[in-house]
Amino acid sequence: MSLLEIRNLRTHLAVPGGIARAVDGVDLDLGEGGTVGVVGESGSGKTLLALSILGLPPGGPDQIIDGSSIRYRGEELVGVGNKRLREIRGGEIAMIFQEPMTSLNPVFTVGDQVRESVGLHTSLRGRAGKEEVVRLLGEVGIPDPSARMRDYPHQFSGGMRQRVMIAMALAGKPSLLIADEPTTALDVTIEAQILDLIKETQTRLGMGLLLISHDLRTVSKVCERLVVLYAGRVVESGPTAEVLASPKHPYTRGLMGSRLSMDDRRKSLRPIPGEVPEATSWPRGCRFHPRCGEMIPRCRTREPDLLPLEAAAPDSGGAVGPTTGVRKARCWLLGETGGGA
Amino acid sequence: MGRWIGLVLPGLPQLLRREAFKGTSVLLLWLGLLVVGLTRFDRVTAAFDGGLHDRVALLTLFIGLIGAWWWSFRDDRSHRIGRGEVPYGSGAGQGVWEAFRRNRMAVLGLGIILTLYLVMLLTPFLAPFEPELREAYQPGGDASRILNPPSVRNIMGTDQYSQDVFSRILYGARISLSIGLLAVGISVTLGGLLGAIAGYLGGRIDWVIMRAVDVVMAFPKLVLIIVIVAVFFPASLFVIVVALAFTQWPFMARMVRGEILSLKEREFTEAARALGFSRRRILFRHLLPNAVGPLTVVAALGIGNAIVLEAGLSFLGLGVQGGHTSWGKMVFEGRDFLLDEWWIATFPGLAIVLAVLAFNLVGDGLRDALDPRQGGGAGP
Ligand SMILES: Nc1ncnc2c1ncn2[C@@H]1O[C@H](COP(=O)(O)OP(=O)(O)O)[C@@H](O)[C@H]1O
Ligand SMILES: [Mg+2]
Repeated sequence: MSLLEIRNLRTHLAVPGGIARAVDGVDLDLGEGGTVGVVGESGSGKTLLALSILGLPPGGPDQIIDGSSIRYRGEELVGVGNKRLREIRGGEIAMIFQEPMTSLNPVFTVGDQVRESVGLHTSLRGRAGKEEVVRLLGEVGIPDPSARMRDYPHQFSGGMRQRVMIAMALAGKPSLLIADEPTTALDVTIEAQILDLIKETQTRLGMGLLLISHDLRTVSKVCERLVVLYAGRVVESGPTAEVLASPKHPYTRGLMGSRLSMDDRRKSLRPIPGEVPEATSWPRGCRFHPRCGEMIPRCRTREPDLLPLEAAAPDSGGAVGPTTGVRKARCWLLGETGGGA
Repeated sequence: MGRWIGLVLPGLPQLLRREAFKGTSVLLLWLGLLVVGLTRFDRVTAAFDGGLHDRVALLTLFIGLIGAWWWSFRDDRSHRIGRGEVPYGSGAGQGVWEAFRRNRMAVLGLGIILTLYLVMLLTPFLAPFEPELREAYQPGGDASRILNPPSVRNIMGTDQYSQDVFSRILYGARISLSIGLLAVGISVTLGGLLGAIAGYLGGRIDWVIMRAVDVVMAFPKLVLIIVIVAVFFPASLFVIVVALAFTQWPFMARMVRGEILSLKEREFTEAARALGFSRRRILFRHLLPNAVGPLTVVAALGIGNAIVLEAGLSFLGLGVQGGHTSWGKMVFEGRDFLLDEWWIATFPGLAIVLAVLAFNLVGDGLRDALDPRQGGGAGP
């Protein structure tokens, strides 16, 4: 059984300009202890995807459209009661956010905040609770945790705060950690440390990891599999190494281009022109076509499906699960059937 | 030497460390209490068997005397321990306090407030006369005690009933100062709660609460209070406090609602939700504590406001009926003598001005200190 199995997830928000179809039919699979990276430019729906998994889209769970399915260890989370969702949050699935500077409450000590999380998800109280806080803070690399737990967030650097957030997330011993742009607000050197910490913790605790970033490089360092999101849809997915070696979707190639140096860019890949359109008005046809350098007439009128690249033998998945090893892409250039059989 | 010096004289270690402000305040407080205790020794000993106010005064005296010592010792010790390490007591409020301290007028206001409340608590030991002692009307009384101008014996003179104005001001502080505190306490609780709920839940509940706020705020405060008090006339202390609180809660509600609206968009709210905290817990344990700073500003200004309103009410003859006097009532009683016997109304009037000014200074000081653009706040 896979840890997380998302099918046709659609999260639509009512906004002044209409309906923002911010997450619009996303499939995603994550095995026990597996690591999946979600990449896409800002506005492609990554954060909303993560919040939807926890039943926390901005306007309440009703924004997750009927027909969406999010299964956590086989348990359907869409439509489940608030009580169960609260147990899941932090206890089964924990999430850390982009802004470590503002993700901690400024008026409480760091220790109090971790302790509150410990108190919510474990039966550790009093002395044992305090020891657990010290242990957690030590585990995420806070030096001298029993002294620093008495400090307030403003006395911590951004990297240290993100470590505290991770400690809070680990307090409930979750089986799945969602990290939404955990290093975007940090310096490059700190970024590497935090990524190492996340990766190391994930391996040690055997957690599943859903790492979200706009930066392909960040996720490809940590994750076994990639899911490329554009305009609320998955446009390409597959094992990290394979996707990087031969990106099939022009958008993926564009993302790779935007991380190359200016020199390389001129030679081979250009950054993607323009920006992600408003979620209220996705383009007709392929949602990427107005920005695509390789557009063909068909892209304007009909949207391609997300199809497997090679027709994998039905039993080739085996131990890795039904779709774990499969590469998929959503592009007309790959032919009617996605370039496969 | 050194370690135990704090036990010799409170404030001494601080003075030796050249922290003149801390040192002198504590030393002056301690000496003042000592002088009061010694000069009114008979009253102090009698207070053991006295009424509630006497006992409160006694308790205040002892706590003050011992507290000054204890604080001085503790402060000195933590200074030794903390030297060269993490600054002692550095917390979220630290930056605010530092910014507040730089504002001299605000510190002065705080000093006045603390002194006023200390004086209020110690009144039985400080007042030279009983507030209702009418010497001219005693058997064999001295008729010349009526309407005396300020003198050594009656430093603020006597009124038309030969009562000592200074003593009456001291006793009047009890009503004037506690009414403000109580009224604001109630309005902060009620308004804070309603504002927090309105801001956090939004939607229809928000609409209902905010329309109630609008309605109450549409009336001039004094008119509203007069109506309430007139309905329940003669008004007890309780009615007046409730009437004052009723006119003030909308301001608290509006302020807290605004705070919560912006706080709930902050990422730590989302992080708390993602960690599984309940909505109630997030609102009361995570968001509301963040609104405490701004709330104290409104509260401080509100207390000053309530004192003025109470005075106005008393001046109209609608104030607390029976029992002890209040400052507003004293001004009211002295209004006919304003031109010739000016001291009867002027001194209680000055007391009102002093108290209100002090609360406004503190309120403004707090607001500036909490304003991150002015270098305060709890930022890094
Ligand atoms: N609270 C919200 N209200 C209205 N629109 C939103 C809200 N959050 C996100 N959106 C819209 O949903 C789309 C996806 O947003 P998001 O999930 O934050 O993208 P990403 O995390 O990939 O940058 C964007 O078009 C954004 O404008
Ligand atoms: Mg995002």
